[in-house]
Amino acid sequence: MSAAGGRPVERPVTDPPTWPPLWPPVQPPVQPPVQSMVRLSAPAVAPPSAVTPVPPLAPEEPLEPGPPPSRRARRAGHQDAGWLRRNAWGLVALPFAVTLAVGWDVHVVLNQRAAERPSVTATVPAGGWGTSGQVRYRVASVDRVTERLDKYGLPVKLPAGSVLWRSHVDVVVPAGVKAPGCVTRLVDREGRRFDDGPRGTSALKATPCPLDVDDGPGTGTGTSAGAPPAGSSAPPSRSAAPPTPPPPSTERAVQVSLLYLLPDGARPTQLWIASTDQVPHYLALTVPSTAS
Amino acid sequence: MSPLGPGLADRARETAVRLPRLLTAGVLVVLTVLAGSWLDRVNGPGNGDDRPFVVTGRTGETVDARKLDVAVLGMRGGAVITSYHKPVDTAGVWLLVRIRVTPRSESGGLGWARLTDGRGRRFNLTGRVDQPMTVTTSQPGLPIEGELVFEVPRDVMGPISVQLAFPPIDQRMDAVAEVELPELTAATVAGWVATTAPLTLAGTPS
Repeated sequence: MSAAGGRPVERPVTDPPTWPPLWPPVQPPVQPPVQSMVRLSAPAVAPPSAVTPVPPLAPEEPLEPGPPPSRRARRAGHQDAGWLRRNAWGLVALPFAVTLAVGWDVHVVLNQRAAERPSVTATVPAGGWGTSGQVRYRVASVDRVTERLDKYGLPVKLPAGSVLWRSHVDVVVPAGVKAPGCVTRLVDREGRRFDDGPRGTSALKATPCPLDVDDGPGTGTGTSAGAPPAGSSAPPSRSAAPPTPPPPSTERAVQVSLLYLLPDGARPTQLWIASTDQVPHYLALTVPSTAS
Repeated sequence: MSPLGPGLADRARETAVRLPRLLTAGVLVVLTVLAGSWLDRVNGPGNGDDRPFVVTGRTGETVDARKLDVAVLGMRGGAVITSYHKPVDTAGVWLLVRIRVTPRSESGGLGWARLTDGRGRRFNLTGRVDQPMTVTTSQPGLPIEGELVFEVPRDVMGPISVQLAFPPIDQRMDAVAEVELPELTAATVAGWVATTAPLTLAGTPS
């Protein structure tokens, strides 16, 4: 820094400021008493005449608790302890950590496998209602398709050795619930599972999921199928008359129809159905024995 | 008194004590990682423990590939193939393998195929032309037939085989059908190359 005339300003030389120490001063180590050194070097035995009576000791005052040992001192003492003692907490925690790590990994893998594999959560007898999510389902009928023409009036072409089947499923959606889609599979006596909507059948009459159901109460589209209370098992009914009319303000009932392509000779025994938010956990609805 | 001062001297002494321990711990960590890497290489993926279960067969035979029954019906080749109504040529040769696929217990179709020639070279399905057999599914018990297209060099010859499987991506721990194809000769390949008429996939499901 310079003054206006360009000459440096002279300042008086002063001592540098003294800052408080960053660390507290370290006390020098306490030297052992000189007596012990004398005793070790040369035993001095005083003549009996020189013995002076020792004044009685004053009663010792109770030791006051000193300051806690510093962190460094504690660490030093810790390192002096045995390995087992130093790592005791780690050893205790290790089995839990290993179990958690491996167990969680296994849990994730098992969940992934389970999600890929379809499973049946409940088997419903013929004509009975089953619930998947919040929606109830019942198989009304499963029949061979006898139509020879599709909706455009063209002949239906099926692969050689195959037979087309159509299922009618009654669906009841609670009020206020957005109607989900559904996934179905028709199962035959041999346990083979057939997807709905096989290729080449798009021109045939079907009403697949997702359900065309309004969210308003009692405004379901499609054929009314009745809605008995959940869990009840009603006999199979092909008539449009519902056995127990549902309260119109609480539920909506529709009927979907789905197509399946089976080899000739296969007989459907179950219809697996699941709301889309429940896949791969299916309901197994037993097909009425009237299926032909 | 140390020239560094009492506090720094203690620190230096402590560091001198701790440094070997830290180095030892570091060396142990490195050794553990190296041991894990070695174990992974010896015991991990690719060592054969999780290889697919190969079921072999011959042309014309039905081979069980767990979720599918597959059969190789024949093969042919050519220099030009029609895909999406346009001819597609190659510097090698188009090799078409005709197969029949029948799902066994649930709906599905062929997910993966690979060709191996006599030199051990492996050829995946070509992506240059349409491959309808890999996207077509069928119902259990209902077969579908079609052709797979491989693009191979003109020096392919000797015993060749085709591998077929249901999983499209990961065939480990799953069944793979391996079917031997008729042995290719140089004359056969030369005849294919000389064919100028474009090949059209036969039996392609709609």
